[in-house]
Amino acid sequence: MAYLSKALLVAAALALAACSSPDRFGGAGAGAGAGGVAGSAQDPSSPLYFQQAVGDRVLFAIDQSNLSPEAIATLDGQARWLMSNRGFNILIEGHADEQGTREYNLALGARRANAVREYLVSQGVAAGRVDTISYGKERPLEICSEEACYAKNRRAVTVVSAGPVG
Amino acid sequence: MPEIAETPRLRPSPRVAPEPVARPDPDVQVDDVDRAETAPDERAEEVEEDRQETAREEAATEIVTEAERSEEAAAPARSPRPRSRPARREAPAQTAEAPAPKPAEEAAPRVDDAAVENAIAAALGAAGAAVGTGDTGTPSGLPLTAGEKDALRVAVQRCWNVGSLSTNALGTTVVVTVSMSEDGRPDAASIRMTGYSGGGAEAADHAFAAARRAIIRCGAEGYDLPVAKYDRWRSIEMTFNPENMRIK
Amino acid sequence: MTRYLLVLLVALFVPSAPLLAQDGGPLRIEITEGVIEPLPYAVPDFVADGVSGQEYARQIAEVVASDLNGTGLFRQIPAEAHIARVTSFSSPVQFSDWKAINAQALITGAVSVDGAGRLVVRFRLYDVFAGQEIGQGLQFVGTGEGWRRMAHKVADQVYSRLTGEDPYFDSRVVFVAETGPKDAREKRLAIMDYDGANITYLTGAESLVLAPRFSPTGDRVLYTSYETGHPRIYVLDVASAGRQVLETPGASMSFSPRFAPDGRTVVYSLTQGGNTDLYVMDIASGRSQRLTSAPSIETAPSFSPDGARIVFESDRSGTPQLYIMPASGGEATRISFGQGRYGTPVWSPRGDLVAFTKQSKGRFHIGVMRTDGSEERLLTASFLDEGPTWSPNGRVIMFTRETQGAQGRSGLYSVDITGRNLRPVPTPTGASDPSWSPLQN
Repeated sequence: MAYLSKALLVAAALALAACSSPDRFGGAGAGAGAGGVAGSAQDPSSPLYFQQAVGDRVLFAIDQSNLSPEAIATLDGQARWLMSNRGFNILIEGHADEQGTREYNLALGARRANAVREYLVSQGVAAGRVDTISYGKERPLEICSEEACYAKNRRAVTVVSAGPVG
Repeated sequence: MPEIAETPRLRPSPRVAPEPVARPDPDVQVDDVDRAETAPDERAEEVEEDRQETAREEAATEIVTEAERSEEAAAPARSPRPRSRPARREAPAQTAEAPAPKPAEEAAPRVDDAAVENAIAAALGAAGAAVGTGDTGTPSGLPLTAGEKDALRVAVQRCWNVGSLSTNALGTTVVVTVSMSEDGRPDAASIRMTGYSGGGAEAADHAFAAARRAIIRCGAEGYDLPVAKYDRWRSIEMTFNPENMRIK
Repeated sequence: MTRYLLVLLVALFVPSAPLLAQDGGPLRIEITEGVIEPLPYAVPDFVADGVSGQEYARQIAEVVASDLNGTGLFRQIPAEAHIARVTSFSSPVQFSDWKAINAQALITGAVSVDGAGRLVVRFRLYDVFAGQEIGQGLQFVGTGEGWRRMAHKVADQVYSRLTGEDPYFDSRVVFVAETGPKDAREKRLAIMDYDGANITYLTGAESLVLAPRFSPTGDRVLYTSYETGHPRIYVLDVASAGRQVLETPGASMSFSPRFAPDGRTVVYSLTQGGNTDLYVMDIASGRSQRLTSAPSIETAPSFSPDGARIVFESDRSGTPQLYIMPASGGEATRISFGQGRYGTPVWSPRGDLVAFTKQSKGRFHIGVMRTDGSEERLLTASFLDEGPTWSPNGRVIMFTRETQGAQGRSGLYSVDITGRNLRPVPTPTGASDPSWSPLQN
């Protein structure tokens, strides 16, 4: 079982790397060298499915960490997926746009990650499966200095990885 | 219709001076005191280097920080005050290849403020004393007029550079005395600090050094003081108060 | 019109103006307006005593000049304009030669190598117009490799004697060296002389590092690193580059560490359950104590020089603002009240000012205010300025400036606290998060 999850993960990582808008730094275990074709986006139990079909990220308003109705809809889907795919743990990455000082944004990213964490736990995801991290403004996804980019950078991304007892 | 004076927009300048000075021509060597170019065959017996005609460096009336500059519609916090005109002692500039630097002040027709004040002061002096004593009076007895004192003040302040002083020294007022020779030159060795306030002794030493440099440098060719009144200015006490300069 | 009449009128009286009796004292005038401009000075090449000193003589004079010129307070008169040469350190100075080129200060020096192979640097400083030496001539002895530091020490003496400010050239800066694109930037800790020379990298590029801070003696650096995956506080020994994590309570994220003036205590931010508060830790025992407990973000702390108070950033009012509290915690007083968001307060080494980052109307500024929040003054404006650090004498502020857009790049800048002399600090790569060391011994 553990072996299977890992294989899935490796496949997911490769698929992620090929994706048009990959999260370049969050994927745990990314970079393993083995090949494979299993776990496509059509496989509902694959991390790729989670990322693309369920939606792995929610966006925030400027300076805010409260969840919008769209964010809650996404997180409801994440919670359902996690409840039916208990072999996976998650790391929630909180991010901020570049319009803020470095350390404040680090704290703001942590606040956003925690908002997502609390919601998922409230929906039944075991707290022990959830870790959080903040990158502040250190890892923007979009690099333009306009609101169109900032909006996509103010995000919390749920990164799925193989659980320790998968 | 009310008169609206167009305020010149302040641009940041490495030099801050009481009177804004227009940008000098780029090939004019930057120096402190406006000087006329020496004519080649004038004063032939004097050995003198060919001096470049110099103009005072471009100056703003206050420091403009990047933040203030970027405030789009911001008007200057203070506008340059009109200054009374210093008495000039220089010869008219000789013909030169390079265009003459823009004069610091407009050469517009003007009321000679100094002369007016001179006359007023004299009148007041006269009014304050008994008239018609028959005493012809000695010129040395007349006090300096406000205009004459003002000219001296303006001449000294042109060389009073506080730009390299510590924050503490900039908060220190110093009182300095100097003995003058009859040709209007200060005796450098006579310059003393007789008092200070607002800062400690060390800050006062630095403030004094700047004051001394001002007196010596701008007096190098003699201040424009009326010889007839030498008794009145053979000793001068100057108070250098940097309060206005501190927040610039 | 009336003026002209008056002139005519008084003109009649002038010939008969009587002798005024009072003969009392000197003429008194008050000077209240002056100029603010760089002081012109000359520093001819130092005199080399013997062949071995020659290579240093010119270089040392160059570094001295570079230090002084860099302050914006002085203007060097180039050697081409000099009409006199200094060929002997001990001969009397011909002040007229230097007056003629309007050099108001003159620095002369000599360099030699002694019997033990040590470099000996001597200098004298003169007030040209007063015709006097300022202070005593001094000499510094050191190793050949240390020639730049000796030059900085000479410049520090000159700067201090001329301005009255404390020296700051013999100091270093620790910062984050940045390479790579904006969305995958590599960050390494680096240290250099304050002027960008002698750069050394202290960490590799494997893990993100943020916001280093010098210890009060400059021997150690606190910083935040993602080395373990999560942001953690590290303390690094500058001499050995050896580092150690500072264990903080809870398993979450700790960051924003700063030394107390005693060098034994660290104030930092700890995030638990999404909430960030301030803590202090005794480094020796590893014991932490909580200073704030609010649901808001409390970060970017900075001790007052006497160690009694801490200024920090908090969004408890709804937007990030500056607050001051006792170093032991307790009630905090807000000090920032202008329009906009305030962050990264840093207490000046003189104790009277706080430097900060301000965000207002889509621009970032570096500014200073008094510790009661009064006399706020913004010194810079750009797309993104942040993270001020004070020179050891509290006269200059260095900070990070990042340019806009996809190709945006970070660099270091410095500015005089008057707002003058804004200039880039040269670094070989992108750079951010500078922390200025104390003056070296």
